[in-house]
Amino acid sequence: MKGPSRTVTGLALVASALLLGAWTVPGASASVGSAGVVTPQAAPASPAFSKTLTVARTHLVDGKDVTVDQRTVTLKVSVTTDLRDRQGIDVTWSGAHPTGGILADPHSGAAAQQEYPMVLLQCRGVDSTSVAASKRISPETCWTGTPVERYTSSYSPAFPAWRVDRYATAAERTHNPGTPNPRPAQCFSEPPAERWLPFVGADGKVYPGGPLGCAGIPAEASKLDSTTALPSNTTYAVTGLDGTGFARFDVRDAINNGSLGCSATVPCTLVAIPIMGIACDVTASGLPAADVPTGTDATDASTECMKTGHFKPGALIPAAVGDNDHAVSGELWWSASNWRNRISVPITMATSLNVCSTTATGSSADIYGSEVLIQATSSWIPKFCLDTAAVPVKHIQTGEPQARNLLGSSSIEAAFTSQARDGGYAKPTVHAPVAVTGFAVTYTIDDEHGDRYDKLKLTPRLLAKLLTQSYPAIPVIQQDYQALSSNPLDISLDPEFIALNPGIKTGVSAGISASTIYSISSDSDVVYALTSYINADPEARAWLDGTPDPWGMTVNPNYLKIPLPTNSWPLLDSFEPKALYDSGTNPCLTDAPVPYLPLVASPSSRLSTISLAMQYSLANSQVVCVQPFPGTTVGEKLNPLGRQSGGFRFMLGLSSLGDAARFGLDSAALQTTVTASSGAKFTDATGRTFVAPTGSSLRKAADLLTTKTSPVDWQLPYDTIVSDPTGAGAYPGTMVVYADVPTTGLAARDARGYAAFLAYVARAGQLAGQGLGKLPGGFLPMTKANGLGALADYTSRAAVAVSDQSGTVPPLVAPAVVPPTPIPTPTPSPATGSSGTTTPVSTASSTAPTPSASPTASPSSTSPSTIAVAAKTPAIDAGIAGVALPGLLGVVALGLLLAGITLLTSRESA
Amino acid sequence: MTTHVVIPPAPPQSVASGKHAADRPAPIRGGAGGRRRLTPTGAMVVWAALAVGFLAAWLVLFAVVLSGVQEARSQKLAYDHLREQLAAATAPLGGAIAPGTPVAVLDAPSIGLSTVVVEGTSALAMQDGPGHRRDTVLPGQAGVSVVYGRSVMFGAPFARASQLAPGATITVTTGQGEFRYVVDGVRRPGDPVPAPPGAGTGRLVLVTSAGEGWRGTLAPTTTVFVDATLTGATQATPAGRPVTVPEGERPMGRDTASLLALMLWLQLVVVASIALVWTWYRWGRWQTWLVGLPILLAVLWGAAENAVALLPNLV
Repeated sequence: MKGPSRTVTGLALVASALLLGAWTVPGASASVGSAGVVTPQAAPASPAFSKTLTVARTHLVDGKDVTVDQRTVTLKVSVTTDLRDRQGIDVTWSGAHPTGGILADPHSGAAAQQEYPMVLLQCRGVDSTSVAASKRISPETCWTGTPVERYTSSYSPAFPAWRVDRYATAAERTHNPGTPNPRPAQCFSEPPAERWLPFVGADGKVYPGGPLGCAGIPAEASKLDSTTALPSNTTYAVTGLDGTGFARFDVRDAINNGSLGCSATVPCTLVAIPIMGIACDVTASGLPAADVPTGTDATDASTECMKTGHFKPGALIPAAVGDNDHAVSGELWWSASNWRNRISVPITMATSLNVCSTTATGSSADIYGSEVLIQATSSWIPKFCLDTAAVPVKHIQTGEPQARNLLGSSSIEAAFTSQARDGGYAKPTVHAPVAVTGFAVTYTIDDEHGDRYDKLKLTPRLLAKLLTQSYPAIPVIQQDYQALSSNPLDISLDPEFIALNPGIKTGVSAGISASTIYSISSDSDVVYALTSYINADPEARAWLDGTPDPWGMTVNPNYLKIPLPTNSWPLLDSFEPKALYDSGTNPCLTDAPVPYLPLVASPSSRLSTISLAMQYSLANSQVVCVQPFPGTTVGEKLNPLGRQSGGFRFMLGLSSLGDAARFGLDSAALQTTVTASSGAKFTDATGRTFVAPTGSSLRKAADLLTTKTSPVDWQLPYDTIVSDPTGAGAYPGTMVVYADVPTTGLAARDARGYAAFLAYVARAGQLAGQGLGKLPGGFLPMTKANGLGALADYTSRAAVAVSDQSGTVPPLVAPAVVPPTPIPTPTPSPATGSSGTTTPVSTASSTAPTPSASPTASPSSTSPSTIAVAAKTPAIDAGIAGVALPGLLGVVALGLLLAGITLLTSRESA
Repeated sequence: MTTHVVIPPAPPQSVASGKHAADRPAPIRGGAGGRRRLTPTGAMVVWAALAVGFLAAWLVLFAVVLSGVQEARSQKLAYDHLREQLAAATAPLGGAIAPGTPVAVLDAPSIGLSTVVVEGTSALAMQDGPGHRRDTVLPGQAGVSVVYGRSVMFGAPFARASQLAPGATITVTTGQGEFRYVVDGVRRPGDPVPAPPGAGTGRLVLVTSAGEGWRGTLAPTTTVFVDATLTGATQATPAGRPVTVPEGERPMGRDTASLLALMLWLQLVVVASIALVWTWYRWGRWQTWLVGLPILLAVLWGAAENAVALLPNLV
């Protein structure tokens, strides 16, 4: 009775999950099998948005149009739909006016001073006259991070360029458009001309802004540019001398920026404004006398407005700020002349993971572990919590070893992990693959021209050098620390690095960051995978064991012969540079000396933190002493280096491929096979193969996976990758992520939840794409076409085992079973309603066209338990014990009989 | 004992009476009249056969009659216990419940059944009353709840369960309230199993044993299921139920855990018997009767209680 009933419920749920999955595939089977977009490098061939616009700067002089500049700008955007928070989208353009007076950080408010920048803004609303005005974009709904981008004032001339803008309305040409009435007292005295551009929040609240934000700014904005907070996404991007430009714009959703409030339900627009300069009309005919410049005012206004740029195109802005020509700077992006030249790119945000916290009812099925899976789970999971019939699933990120331990002690019910647990689990537990992804060595590096470097190559030995703190980082250590004295100061000075990565300045200014890799401090399978790769490489291993590299660099002796692979990377260096500490230049370290190089390494416990730091180049080396009360030790504290200056960035970090794809982080190509002589110096990459994470390189790694049958596991053969020609094209950072779920002891509801999740992930969850429930970038779909059909099939069968909770772990190869006839249960009792095949699934599946279920009803989802659906009541025989009581009666009779007979027959005469 | 006089104190055979043991080579009346004496071998056979027969008869008596007395007492205690817990709202609602704990009161008026259900379906646990299978939800919760009951021994609470007609009402009271089930029907081997209850509905399955024909009463050989569907809303199901139960708690399971106890009880029976024979001769017949009978009954009771645990839990 019990067994069959459970099986039926389980199957029904699995089937429902499959149906649910099928619903997400509106004829998108074409995308099944093909490798997904793995990295930003592998950008789609055709951009999601492309528009060409002719823009001109045409003054109105004496009633006649005078065109001084005209350009045809083409703008392309890589992706515009189902965007997630902080997702990096590539914006490229051509034909724009080259930028002059360039500032390092294009996200800062100060960067608005650049001349002829391409201004990229995220604005709430759509650019269409067919919607209500409140839902339309306007400069008031466009986000800027600082108030200086929304306020301008002028003492002289009294008629700055924006007052003689020929396209501005009469109201905008007064001396104080947008100024609150009454003018707030805290906002300094009123200048002769000022322009306030308020920001209108998503809730309708108006933030007037003003000088230094005196009249109120949104909570997410800051009064001044900050080097510690996340930079604003407002970008004053640089157009090159050839008129082309590139920017990676990171969109923000309503959770990140509630005032802007872009979400799946609130449409937004990416506005690109190629700044052309103000189209001037000094005559101002028809305006009130007060708004018409006369005399010297008119001359000044004309001169000021018609300026075409103080700086040469491509020139950097010098220290003295304020020399720029306002008429052509980014500061006036909101002016009518500039605003009318905008290119509006409609963008839609994906349904946020946040929906789960508000819609989920009842307890969720929690899965702990794997941080490399987070981008996939944040796409999959809303699918479950938006479906009222499904058990909500939650992914709680922890290090994989911790998750395995928790599962081993039955503290949790399921774990995402990338390794099989040593010694297995006490309970029967499936180890079902859910995704093929990996780690990425991400970097934010500017080349010798200050541009983004995007073709970094790294060898395992270079990674080992960074991890072992073998670069001295600062000259004091190089001088005083005998063991590292002959090593290059940082990686940019390492001949091995220089040989592989030409074009990067040797001896970068961010030397401390360039001597380490921002890594993970907690126990993690990512570290295990990384160190497995390093350990397999003969050159790296030999170097760790004490052999100097061809240029004589040696390993930090604290790490000599370190056993690898390991789950957690230790910080072993203990050198304290006395000279530095005694000098008092870093009072924190003078007062409380600690080893220096571990501070340089300063790993993070979370991969997501590293990804964030890599996206905004927030260097984490904790070497900056901050004293709240200068000269005293009270509250003094070591702080991270903070944001690096644009043009001089140099950071390396350990991230996941999923994060790299979502946030648009550059991922290094890693060395696989070497045919060059290993002991010799080299000056270029000849004879060495470097593989970047792409769909095809992950696919090649997938081909190499070795299958273990007991326990079922798939492992990447690092030895093959680094030595065998077949492994040459395989990305060495590839990792398989598994869900470990016990098949006994789970509460029925939870078991149902996990089973439905596994069933979903095995099929529909492997469709690559941007939408909700799809497999995002950075993941290789586990499909037959990718040679991973066995993994998906196994997960389907694992889902059934989890649902059954009968304590069995499916073997690798499916047992031959009777083909699955979807047997409708005979339903003898109408009172009990639902059956195995008609379980109410969800609103989703009811809208599904029925045939769509067929591709998912593959034989692999069968198990022997399918057959038990139409069970009959078993005959449970009591066996011989059932006749015990009559038997005993027989014994009584026999005893009496025997006694009687004996009495009668056996006697002796008296 | 090698002498020709062997007279155990078996009352039914004592027709004569005397003051001294010497009086008795027990006179036994034989078929053809006249006084005859058994040969020593014959006497041994007779006594042995009678002793075995007596023990077997005792077991049957215990199984059919006396175990019911014991069950009635257990039920009384269990009812008092559960009633107090229901009043105090401390009755177990789910999760891991210790076997033997009373969990519900089950009433089926149409067959005159009113009994306390205890947790666990091992043969020993079910000596106290019908047992609730530990890997199923409690009655009143969503899903299938399974209750086993005996049909012969220990009061035979489910002896008439197979007479439950479709539409009959079964009322179950647990710590979560009173639940009314309507019988769907009686299921015998070969009948189709009904589909599992849908979400938010509950089913109660009563399981007992039945036999056919002449031996049906004493020797049920097969299982019978009674399906009943919950009317009304289900209650929450606390987590932590065992997901499987050992063989001994499945239908027709036997409790081999009682073997050790049985062995010890049998040793006591032997010791008590020897001691009583000794007192019979050394002390006196009536003294032995007075003192020995309760002792003998007690050890025989204990032995029988454990012996019948070796019989299937549904019998």
